[in-house]
Amino acid sequence: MSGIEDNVLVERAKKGDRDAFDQLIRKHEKRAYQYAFRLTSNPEEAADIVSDAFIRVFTAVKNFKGNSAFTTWLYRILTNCFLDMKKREKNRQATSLESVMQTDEGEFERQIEDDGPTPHEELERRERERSVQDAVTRLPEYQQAMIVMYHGEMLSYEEIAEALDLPIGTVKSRLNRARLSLREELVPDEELFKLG
Amino acid sequence: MNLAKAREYFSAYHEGTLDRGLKQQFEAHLNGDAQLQAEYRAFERTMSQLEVLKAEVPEPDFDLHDRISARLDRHLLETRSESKPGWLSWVRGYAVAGLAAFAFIGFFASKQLGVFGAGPLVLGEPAISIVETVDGVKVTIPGESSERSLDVELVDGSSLESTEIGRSGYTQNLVNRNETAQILTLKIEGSAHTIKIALPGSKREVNKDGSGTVDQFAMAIADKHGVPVVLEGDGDFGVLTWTLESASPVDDVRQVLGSRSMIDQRSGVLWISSK
Repeated sequence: MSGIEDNVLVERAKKGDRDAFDQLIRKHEKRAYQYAFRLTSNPEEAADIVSDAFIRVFTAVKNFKGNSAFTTWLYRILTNCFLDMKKREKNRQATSLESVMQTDEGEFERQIEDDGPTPHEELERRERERSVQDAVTRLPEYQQAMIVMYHGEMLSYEEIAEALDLPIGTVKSRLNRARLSLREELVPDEELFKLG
Repeated sequence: MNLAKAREYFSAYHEGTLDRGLKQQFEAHLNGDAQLQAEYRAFERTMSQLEVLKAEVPEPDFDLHDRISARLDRHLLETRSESKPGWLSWVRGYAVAGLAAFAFIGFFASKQLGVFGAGPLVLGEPAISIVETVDGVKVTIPGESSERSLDVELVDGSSLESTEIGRSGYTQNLVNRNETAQILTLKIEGSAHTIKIALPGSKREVNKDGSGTVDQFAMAIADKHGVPVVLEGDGDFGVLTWTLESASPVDDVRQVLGSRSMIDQRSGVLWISSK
């Protein structure tokens, strides 16, 4: 990671310096990918979201005022790219939900076969993770982004409010609702967690 | 406080951020309502389960950076070809025009050679590289199978260096020790085009208003912004008049040359290509 501050690179990028922009990408691409992956659980989609996001950043960097941190702004753009991707998916296929569910089952089966004789505890841990991640993906996309930002990326309420351009009170109440929804989603899996 | 209202406070109570009065009300309700107790216990389990989201995610593929850069280059290519009709055909025509074309490829795709697949920028050829150094620029021309001469000339036509680009290629640091910007011309045998490099002087004093040739304009830009400027192509810009007011060299050039040129900034060097 380069030691040059984001604001210096942003100012240089604003003047059309492609190398400075390249350094910004190098500094933040991994974190951006992690966020996108946590949202999608799909490496290809995550890479697409990150690529789209950096193109938007490149196009809009001249208008970036620096009122928030560059990373916060990047989270906002990544979230918008994710929401746009989901919108496109919904428009494309009405049957997509079914196919996703089928894929999930298939992946789980493949996981067991591919990994060979997995230790029982490891299997349980994976299943617990998958169960929570699946429940998160069933939330409305906006709640999903908030949950991942707070619990996965460990952003503060203030940072999420800035990234999503929402009042902090709204962020808190929506996050509470998202957690309540998750609680409902996870009730059928209670047995699983009792095993751990 | 009813059950629905109490649920709204789950997160705040869990985080310990409820103010004292609300906390007391919430706890009073919690102690007296078995359903609320069960729901809150489930909520706490959910909060605990969400810890798994902190688990490390897989590393991105090793080529993520190249993938992003390639997408960005493609986006720029498309944007430019849409906004400037004829640009793409100019690229294709120029790409077969000799060694100077490599400068163009270096300019737009030096880090991306080959990433465009079957697109118009696929060339397995080397590229002239001009990058900013602490006190000037470093020029690198990769080796070739055939010998070609390279002449580096000062503005008055006198020779600074005359050499051959052979298999080992050419690498040279160019430094301007003068107080004002100077321009050097690189002439490559067999190429119809020349490359000029305006290197800023040590004083960097410049009148923001001026007029003259594109060479003089490039020197004014170099001195004002302290940036090496490469003029590439053989376009005739005639007599130019300028007022340099922008904080950005790109904007200053755009202001004067407008759509007659293509501008980019890479590795600390400003490239101006005539159309």
